[in-house]
Amino acid sequence: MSGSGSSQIHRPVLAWAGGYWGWRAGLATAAAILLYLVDRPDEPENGGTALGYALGVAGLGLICWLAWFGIRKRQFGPGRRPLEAWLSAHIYLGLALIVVATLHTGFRWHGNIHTLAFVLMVLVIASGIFGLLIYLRYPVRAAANLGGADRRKLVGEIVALDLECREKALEFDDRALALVRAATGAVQPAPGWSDLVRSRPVLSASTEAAIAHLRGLLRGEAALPPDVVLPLVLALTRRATLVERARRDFRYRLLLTGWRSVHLVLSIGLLVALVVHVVVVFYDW
Amino acid sequence: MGEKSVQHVEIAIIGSGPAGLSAAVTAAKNGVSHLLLERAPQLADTIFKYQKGKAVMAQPMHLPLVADLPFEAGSREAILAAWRERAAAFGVCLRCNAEVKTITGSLGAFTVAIEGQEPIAASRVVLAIGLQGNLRRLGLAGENRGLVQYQLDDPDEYRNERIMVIGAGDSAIENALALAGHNDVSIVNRAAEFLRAQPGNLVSIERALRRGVIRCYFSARPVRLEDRAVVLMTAEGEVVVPCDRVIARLGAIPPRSFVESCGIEFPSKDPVAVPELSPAYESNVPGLYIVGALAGYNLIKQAINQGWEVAERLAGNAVEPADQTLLAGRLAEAYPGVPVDTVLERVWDALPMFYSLTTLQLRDLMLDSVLHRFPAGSVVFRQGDYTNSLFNIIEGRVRVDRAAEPGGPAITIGPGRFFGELGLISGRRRSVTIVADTDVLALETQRRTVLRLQRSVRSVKAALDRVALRRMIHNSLGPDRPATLFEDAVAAAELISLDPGAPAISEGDPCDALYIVQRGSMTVTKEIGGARVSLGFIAAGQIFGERGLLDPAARRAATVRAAVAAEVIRVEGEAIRRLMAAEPSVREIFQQAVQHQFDASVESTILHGLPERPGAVDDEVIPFLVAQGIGEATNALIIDEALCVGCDNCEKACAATHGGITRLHREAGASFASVKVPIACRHCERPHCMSDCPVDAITRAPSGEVLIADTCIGCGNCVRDCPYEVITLAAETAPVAGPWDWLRRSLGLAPLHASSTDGGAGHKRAVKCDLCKDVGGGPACVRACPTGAAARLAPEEYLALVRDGSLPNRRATP
Repeated sequence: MSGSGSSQIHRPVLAWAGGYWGWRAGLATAAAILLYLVDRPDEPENGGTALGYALGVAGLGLICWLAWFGIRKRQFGPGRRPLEAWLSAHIYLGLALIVVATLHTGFRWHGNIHTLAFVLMVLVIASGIFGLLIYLRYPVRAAANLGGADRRKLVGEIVALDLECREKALEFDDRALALVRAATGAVQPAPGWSDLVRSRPVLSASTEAAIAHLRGLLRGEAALPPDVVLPLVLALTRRATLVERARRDFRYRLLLTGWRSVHLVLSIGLLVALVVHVVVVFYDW
Repeated sequence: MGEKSVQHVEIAIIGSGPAGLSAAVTAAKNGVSHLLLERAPQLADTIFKYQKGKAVMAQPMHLPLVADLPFEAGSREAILAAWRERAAAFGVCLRCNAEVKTITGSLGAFTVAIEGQEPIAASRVVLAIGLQGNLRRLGLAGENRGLVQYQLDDPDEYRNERIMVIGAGDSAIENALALAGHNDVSIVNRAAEFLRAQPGNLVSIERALRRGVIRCYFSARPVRLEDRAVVLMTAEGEVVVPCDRVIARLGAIPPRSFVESCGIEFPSKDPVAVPELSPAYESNVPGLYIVGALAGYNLIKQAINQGWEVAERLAGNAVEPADQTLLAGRLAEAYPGVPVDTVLERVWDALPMFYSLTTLQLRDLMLDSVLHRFPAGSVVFRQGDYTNSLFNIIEGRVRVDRAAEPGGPAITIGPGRFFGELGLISGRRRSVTIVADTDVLALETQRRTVLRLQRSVRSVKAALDRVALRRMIHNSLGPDRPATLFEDAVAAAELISLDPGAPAISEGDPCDALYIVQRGSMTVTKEIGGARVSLGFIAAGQIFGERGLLDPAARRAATVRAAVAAEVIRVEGEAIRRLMAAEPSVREIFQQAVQHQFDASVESTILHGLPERPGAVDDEVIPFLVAQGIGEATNALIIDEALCVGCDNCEKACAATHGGITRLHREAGASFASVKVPIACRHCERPHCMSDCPVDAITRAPSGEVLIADTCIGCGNCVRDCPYEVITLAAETAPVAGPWDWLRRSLGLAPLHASSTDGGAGHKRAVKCDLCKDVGGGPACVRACPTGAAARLAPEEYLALVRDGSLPNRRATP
């Protein structure tokens, strides 16, 4: 009843079967480059020479096989190789594709429908590389950010802290109460797409204002002792950090799952453009 | 005032529950004059008082229903309706609101005195009053004012109320749990913990308290009732608890005094004792019969059959007991041509373990057991088998097969003795192979039956406990040595139960005993330089504490704590020292264990000190894993969070290969230091789910998976008993196919999610991970994980991989 080979337990996908697909893809790429270099076609290199056609067919086959991954991923019956093997192949062969396709073009682009197909392919592969980097980098961070805590419990804790802060604030003056009210409650601004590109300071402006006011209460004639003020300040700070954790969690999850939508949309565009490219080529033949 | 003639009937039946009603129906069918007397205003009072909508089960499944009273598993309402209809159809003479005060007289001339009515004369009396007795009251002023009630008919009737439930038995717990969904419920327990209830209820209430769904006042009792509050006396003084309603379930006074006042004798002062009865259910008073719960049979079907049997005989029809044909069939192969009663006598004479069973209990046992004839030389069971039945030898001898370890005296087991009991307790595989030395006739009894008898029959419990201790000690300390060597140690042994986290031994304690883990698992920790270091864990069947016995002046070097609820055998140190002096091989065993532990501890300490070293495991990870049940798992799903991207393909794969219902919840499930243990079955060594399955639908396959068969009736006991909450009740839906289905769902042409637990005409059954035994190719969740984060493997393998550095460092650094 052991797992699929003990050496394969919890190994990253790039290392699947000792980098089996990496070697294969590397060899294929090297072969393509070699062929390109030794080839002496009659016309300037382009997709129409013998090698050009060969590379084109290879590229077409690769793209179709790569796109098939979307179907394979949703087939759950027995008798197939593990999905991890497919993904490992998908990544390495996807990287090989860019070389194959570029060689196929002969480094000539004329800004037409064919170039569009190429550009889309490059975008798809770029989004794939982006996704791969995200897969390598973010799971660890996401896990460390949550630190074993339940995502829903996190929200529960924030709500509980909100109540606590407001209760504590009742013992202070009206201004403190108003500021604490503003700093707790709804998370402003709500997490959204902008979080992907911008990181926010941990303490929001309203929290800063509340803490600044409370700090001010430590001075002056009616100065309050620190142990009276500190619990509320720390509660506000902790709340802010929990909100930041929730924000980060949201960001990581968005990155981990969102990029696939981009990859998918671009792939569908590529497939359409590819069909057009092939039809046009044969039409022009 | 003239003398009224006393009404005379042939049979007076007291109590209109299933037993009494069945007797009355049978009497009516045979044209025998009878009177069915019922204290309450309606018949079948106990069942009438069941919670509304309670599902009544028709156990035991294999027992045929011979009476004319219909009975099938169903809702309380359906059953009562069927009975009322049948009683009317047969013309049963029922008199309600008739409480019997005394029964006097003798065979042929009994006088049944009824409260507030004329007495009845009867030739024979059948007592079918069950065990309900009188409901105990609070005994406080004001309890009749309306705040307090002693019954809960419909838990859904009350919403958004503050309800206090007083009591700690099954009824109180069931009521509290049923109400907690819609009300603010607190429960008042006179004791410091819940002890008396059924194991299933104990688990449920503890879970509810842990989650804060119900509040409990321990060591508290009510002292005063106020308008909308109850005053409790607790350990800290008086506490006023506001509430809208009080439900007091304080139990019933068993009708023992009433029964004894009829002249019936009980065999002992033990409250659970039942009156001695003849096989025809006649008590020591001729003409006075007892059937149903009062005779020791709590199940409705048995009660119905018994009522029928008694009434048929009283009508002059010679009938066989309801189980006679069934029994004859079961016994025929082993005892061809021998009448059932003779077989029972022979079995009884041969097996001391069952000496204190009554005839009726013995019949029950034989129905649940199988008689086997093993020819000389055949294998009864093999080492490593996952079977867990108990064998009693009636004729012949078996021997413990030592082919794997030759040498040492042969161990044989002869007639009247039993073997195979280790499987009952720790659920481990068979530790030896048993071969028939001569032709053997043995009685094989299933685990569930034996455990049930162990709880209710003292001779069975005593025999099993004693032998279990002896076997455990013998196997751990010297399996090749003769058993007699260890009698001294057995006499100095006791069984200790530990709650999770409770220490068996603490660092620095004197070394005065040896411990063997009987059930559960333990974690070992030690303080080194002010930090608590984990040194590993100890599984069931292993010993600990032996190191200290080698050196009289030693102190405990580490703390050993129960990781999950555990049972350990503690043997007094002096007895062990005597044993070591008499038997050098025992000292050898200890010394080897010490050496092994020494090496393992050094390794652990190095790992602790160098967290960067490949394979270093954070100290807390092992206790975390053990607390998640990895300590008792045989195959667990462990997700490496450093690789998991949260795509949930594992869940989708599980659902797609299992009728649309996933058996795994990835996101729920604890995680620690990048190791996540999702909610998925651990296929425990001693499956908690198996412990209370009424139809024995949960079994372990030869390859070790714990499986739920199709015979599941959906009672939910296993759902409740699993501490890791991996089982759900769901109705099978149409299987979810592959990508084209996904496409249709994405385009809105098919429902997005397979509806699992709501709606569906299908019967809900318990479902959990089955290691894809029918799917083929290995666990679907692992095969569907694109990044290799999911792994399903045995814990020892996992920990070995961690220790030898095959797995990347666990420490997550953002």
